[in-house]
Amino acid sequence: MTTIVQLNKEQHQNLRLVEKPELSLVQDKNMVPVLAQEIPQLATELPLVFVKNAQTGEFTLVAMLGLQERQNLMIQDDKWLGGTLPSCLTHSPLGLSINAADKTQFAVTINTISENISESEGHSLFSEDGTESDYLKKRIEVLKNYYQCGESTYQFTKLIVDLELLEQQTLSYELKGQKQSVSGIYLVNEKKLNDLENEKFIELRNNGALSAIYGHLVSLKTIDKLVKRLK
Amino acid sequence: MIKKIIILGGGAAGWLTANHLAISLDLKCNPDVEVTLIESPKIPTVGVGEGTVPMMRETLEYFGIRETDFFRKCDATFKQSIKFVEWLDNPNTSPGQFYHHLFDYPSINEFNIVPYWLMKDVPDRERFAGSISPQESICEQGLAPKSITHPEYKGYLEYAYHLDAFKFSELLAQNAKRLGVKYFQAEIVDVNQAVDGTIESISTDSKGKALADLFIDCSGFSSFLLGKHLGVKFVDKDDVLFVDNAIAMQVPYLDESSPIASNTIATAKSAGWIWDIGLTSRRGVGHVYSSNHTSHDEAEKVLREYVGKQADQLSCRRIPMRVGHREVFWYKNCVAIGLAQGFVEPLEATGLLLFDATARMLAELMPANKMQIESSAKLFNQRALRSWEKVIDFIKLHYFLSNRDDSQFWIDNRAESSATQSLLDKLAMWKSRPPSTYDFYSRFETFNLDNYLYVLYGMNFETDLSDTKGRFQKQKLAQEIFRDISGRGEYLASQLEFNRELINKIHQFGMQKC
Repeated sequence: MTTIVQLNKEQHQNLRLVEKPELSLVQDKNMVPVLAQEIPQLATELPLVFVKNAQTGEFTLVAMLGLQERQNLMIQDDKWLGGTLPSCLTHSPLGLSINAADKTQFAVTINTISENISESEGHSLFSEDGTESDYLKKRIEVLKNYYQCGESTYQFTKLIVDLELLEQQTLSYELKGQKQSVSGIYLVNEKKLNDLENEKFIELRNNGALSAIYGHLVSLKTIDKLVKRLK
Repeated sequence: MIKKIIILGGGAAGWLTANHLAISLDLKCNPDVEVTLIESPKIPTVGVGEGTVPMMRETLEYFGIRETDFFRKCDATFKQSIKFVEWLDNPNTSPGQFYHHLFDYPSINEFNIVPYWLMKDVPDRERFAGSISPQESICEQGLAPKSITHPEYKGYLEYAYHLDAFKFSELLAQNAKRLGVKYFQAEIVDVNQAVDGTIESISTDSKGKALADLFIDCSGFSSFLLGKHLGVKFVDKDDVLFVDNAIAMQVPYLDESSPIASNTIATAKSAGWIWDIGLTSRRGVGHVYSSNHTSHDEAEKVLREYVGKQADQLSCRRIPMRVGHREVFWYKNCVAIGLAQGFVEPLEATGLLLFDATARMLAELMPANKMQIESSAKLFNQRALRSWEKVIDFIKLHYFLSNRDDSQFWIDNRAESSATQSLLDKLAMWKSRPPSTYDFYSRFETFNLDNYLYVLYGMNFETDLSDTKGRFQKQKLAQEIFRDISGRGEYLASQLEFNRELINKIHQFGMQKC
């Protein structure tokens, strides 16, 4: 049974939300999706790579949180060990359900079994007269902004795919003197990037994709930080 | 120098040739050569021939066509095998018996497990294809050969396609034009030949005279240039292969989530056989039969019975076929590609395969100048003739090995006098040793070792190893390999989606290039 339902004042009038990241949801995930806009902040902390969505085959930009399946090295005792928290972890239990045919139409959803839901603590979602509280309005704006950034991240990824810059590669690291590697990930091939025609290269620069690509490439070095957490 | 080339005919053969020439002559950048395809607006294309073999994957990739676009534009589906139903025994004694000719070729180069399969006791021996490849069980479950995360043209298992032949021609046409092939429509009113028989030009009704150094005849059954105007004779093969007519029908799916089969289904009937090919929105079904062994009306009845109640609302069309090929395929400055070359029944999807293979050969052997035409033609004719002969042998094999004797068609087909000597020679050797790659000394034979293995042992051909069993002592290793194959089948089944599901995803999300 799904626990994610459309938010409505009839059922959810008295609900309150505690605002904290719900890390238990991802404690066995070794990656989370990130936005292109987050690359500058996250690039110094986590390896940012591309993976294929198992259901659609489409490329998604993710931050690696572990070195193997079901391993998350960034969470301990329900605490985030890094500096910057990827924004996808800040929304729970709220979400947006976008109408595929008309993307300006959306519904706000809520995960009804979230530990952030309370009847006594936190912020009210609805005023006593049943209208959306200012707090909820603010949260919806954040979600809408997140969704828009998601769209531009999708376009950014598509651009890299169309230019055929991505390549399946492995990311190597050393553990206890042994060489190990992470596979199943896709990285921008620097040679292909440098070999782009001037026109295409300038296009990347002008729409901001170039700095994001370099951010992605620089971030790969942070795999050593993950390895250290393992030790 | 060969400067101008005209392709006559805008069906699949014409456009396949156009693409091959465009790439090998680099038409887009090459200022020295011009290739023009002329199509008659009045002559319809035959438009059956909806099955391919894995070589088509290579060809599409070579043409620079995205596999995603191909799926979206040609109603294409995955084909992993041809399933032969009721070819072996009389259907009244063993209804529904079948075997698969799979596209996944087992790796038998390092260690050949075929003899170990042959040494198993016949009664409890598993089907050959299912023993040596996981693909048979994947096909039987209706699963796809790849997942949505595989790059284009790659998969867990080998595959080819079923496609809509008209839409496929359109896609090929678009691509050839992109690659620099010129095109116009006109009726041909005359063919102008020099005293030595060379074609100098063709006169059209609306575009004047078209001159060329080389003419490629893709005019279909009519063989308009090579057969009709140059008088190259047709070699009938109806003494070996008896079917000479087809009745075709398009059967829509009952609803849009109906499963799509993973393979062609070829069901043997008392005077021929029925093809059943699942595309995305409909099935193409047709009865190929020998008019010497049944009547057209009876043949249509057999097809309608096969389709069932749904056929009552559907019309069908009959296509007469002449089995055989031209004596030569390249004569003077005229080369035939496609049905203008010849025809055999579509049992092993050899139509598009031979169009593609000979078009590529032509592109690669394209002479530099007129002086070289004769030597290129000689080589091309040798190779193409060999392909035809080998295709005919292979098709005949399917009939010749049958145990059926429930109609005159089958009795005639099993008569030794109806088989070619080259086929009889091979079978004689394989009675005491399994086929070897050295039985097939050129890859131009179209059907090679693996293809023969699937059909021979699918049809329970007996290879007696009693004198040679001492050579096969690695029973333990063989058993391990058989177990691995069946384990791999289970793993793949857990990973793969149904054909329809994957094809819907391809339409929605596309496949990635890498």
